[in-house]
Amino acid sequence: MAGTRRRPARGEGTAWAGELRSLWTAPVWGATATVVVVALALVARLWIAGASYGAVDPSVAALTSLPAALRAAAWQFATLLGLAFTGVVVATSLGQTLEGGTWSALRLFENRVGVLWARKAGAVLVLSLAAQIATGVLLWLATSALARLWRVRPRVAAPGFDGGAVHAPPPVALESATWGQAAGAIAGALLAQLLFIALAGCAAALLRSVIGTLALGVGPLLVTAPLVLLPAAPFLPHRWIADLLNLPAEAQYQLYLWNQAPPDPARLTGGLALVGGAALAAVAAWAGLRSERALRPVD
Amino acid sequence: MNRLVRAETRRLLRHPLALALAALFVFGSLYCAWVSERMAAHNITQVQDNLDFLPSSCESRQNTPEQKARCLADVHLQAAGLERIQDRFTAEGVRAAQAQHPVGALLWTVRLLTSIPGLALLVMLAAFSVAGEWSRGSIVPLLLYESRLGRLLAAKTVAIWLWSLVLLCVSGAVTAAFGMLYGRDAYPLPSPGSLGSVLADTGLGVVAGAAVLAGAAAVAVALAALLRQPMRAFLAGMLVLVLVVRTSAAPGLGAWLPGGALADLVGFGAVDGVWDHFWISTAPSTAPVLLRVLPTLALIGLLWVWLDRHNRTRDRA
Repeated sequence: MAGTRRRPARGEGTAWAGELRSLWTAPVWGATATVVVVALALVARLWIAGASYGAVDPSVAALTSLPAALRAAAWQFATLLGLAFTGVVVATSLGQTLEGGTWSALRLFENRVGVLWARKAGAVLVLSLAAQIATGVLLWLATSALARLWRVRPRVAAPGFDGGAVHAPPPVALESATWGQAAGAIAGALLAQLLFIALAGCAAALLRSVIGTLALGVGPLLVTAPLVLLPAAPFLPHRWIADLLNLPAEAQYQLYLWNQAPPDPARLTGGLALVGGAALAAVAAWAGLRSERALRPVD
Repeated sequence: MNRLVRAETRRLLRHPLALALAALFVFGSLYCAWVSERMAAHNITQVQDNLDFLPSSCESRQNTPEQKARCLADVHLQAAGLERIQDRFTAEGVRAAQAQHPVGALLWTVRLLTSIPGLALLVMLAAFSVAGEWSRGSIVPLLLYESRLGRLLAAKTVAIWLWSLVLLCVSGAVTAAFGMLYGRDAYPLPSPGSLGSVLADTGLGVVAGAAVLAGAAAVAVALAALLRQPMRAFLAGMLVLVLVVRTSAAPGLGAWLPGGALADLVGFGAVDGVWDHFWISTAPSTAPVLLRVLPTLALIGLLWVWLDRHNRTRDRA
C-alpha cells in the first residue's frame, strides 16, 4: 500500500484534549493557585490598609467592577507572576516529555514536530486564558466582599480655627475599565504569554529537562528585568510588554509585578516587537525540537 | 567514595544547566555590584554637597534679618541630621566598596550566594541532579555501580557544594575585575579598610558562607531524594526557602531559626541599602551565633537520618 497515508486512529480534537488533560498535575495546580492567592493577597492587603484611612488606592478600588478586575488579572499574567506560571507549566509539560523520554514515543504517532509543538503551546495558552479569567472573577468577588466588610470610611472634615470647615479634597476618581479595555488587556496578556511559552520552549529544546526549562525559560527575563531603566530598554521584551499593556505606574506592585519602564507608551511598536520576538523564539524552539538530539535522553 | 565524588563533580561542572545557572548568577551579581557602587557613590556625593551648602543656606537676600537669625540658630540641628545620614551612607559605601577590592569582592559575592538568589540556584541544581535521576530513569545504572543510596546522595551533595564554591570564585573574580577596572574610577567610594582587616573579614565570611552552602546543599539534596520529581522538588525547596526567610524575623525565636542564624553567620548585618544580599531584617540576639547554629545542624542531621531510614523501606514494596 505504498503511497497511502495511514489515517490517524483518533481525531485532532482528541489529541488537543489529551494535551490539556496532561496539564492536570499537582505542580500546575500549585502554580495556578499560587498566582491567584498572590494576586488576591496584594489587593486585600492594600484594601484593608487603606480602608480605615478612607483612601483606598484608585487602581484597587476600581476592582469592584468586573472589567477592571479582568484587566488587572491580565496584567498579572503578562508580568512576573505570569512568567513564573508559564515557566512551571511548560516545564511540567514539554520539559517533562523531553526529560522522561516520551517525546520519541509521541513522534511515532505524530511525526510533524510543528503540530506537536503547536498543541503543547496551545494547551498552555488555553490554560493561561482560563486562569486569567478565573483570577479576574475571583478578584472581582473578593474586592466586592471587601467593599462590604471594610467600608471606606470617608475622612471627617475637622472644623477650622475660625469655626469654618477645612477644605477637603474631592474623592479620587475610580480607574475603571470598559469591556473593550479588558478584552484588549487579555489579548495583550496572551501575546506576552506566547512569548514566555516560546522562550520556555527554546529552553526545553536546548536543555531537555524540567529544571532546565524552568531556569532558562524564566531566568534570563528575570535577571535582565532591571536593565529596563537603562538606554537599552527599547530593545528589551520587558519594555515591549509594558508598552503593549500600557501598564500604569501607580499600579506597580499592586496589580502587577514588573520593572517600571519610563512612561513612553508605543503600543503598536511594542506589540509588533513582541510578535516578532515570540515568532523568532517559537521557530527556534521548533528547530530544536526537530533535531535528533531531542530524541535522546539527557545525560 | 572519592571516585563517586569526582565523577559526580565532573559531570555536574560540565553540564549545560549548571553552566547556564552559573552564567545567570554571574550576570546578576555583576549588575547588583554595579548598581550598588553607583548608588553608594551618588548618595555620598549628594549628602556632602548638602553639608557644604548648609552654612551659606541662610544667606539668601529674600530672608529678613529675623528669618536669617532663626535659620542660623537651626543650622547645627540640620547639620546633625545630615551627618547622621552621611554616616549611614558612608557605612553603605564601605560595604559596597568591597566589590571594588580584589579580596573583598569574594566577601561581596559570598553574601549574594548565601542569600535568596544563590540558595534558589542550589535548589534548582539539586532538583535536576538528584530528583532528575528518578524521572529520567538513570538512577538504576547509578545504583548498579553504587548500591548504597546514602553514599550516592552524599556524593551529589558534595558535588553541588563544590559547584557553588567554584561559582563563588568565578563570580568574585568577575566582580573584582569590574570593580577595579571600571568601578573605582567611575564611582569613588570610601576604603573598605586595611588589607589585613579585609583579609580577615573575607576569610571568616567565606568559611561561614561555605558552611551555609554545605548545609543548604544537604537540605536541597535530601528534599529532592524524598520527592523524586524535579518540579515538586523545586517547588518544595522554594517553599522551604520562603519559610526560612520569613521566620528569621520572628521576634525572640527568629535568631535561633535557620534564617536568623544564617544571616548572622554570614554577616548580612543591618545594612539594607547595598545589594550584596537579598534577605529580610532578622530578629536581634545576644547569644553567640555558633550556639544558634546548633538547632539548624540538628534539623539537617535529623532530616538525613530520617531520609536514610525511609529509603531503606520505601523501595521494597
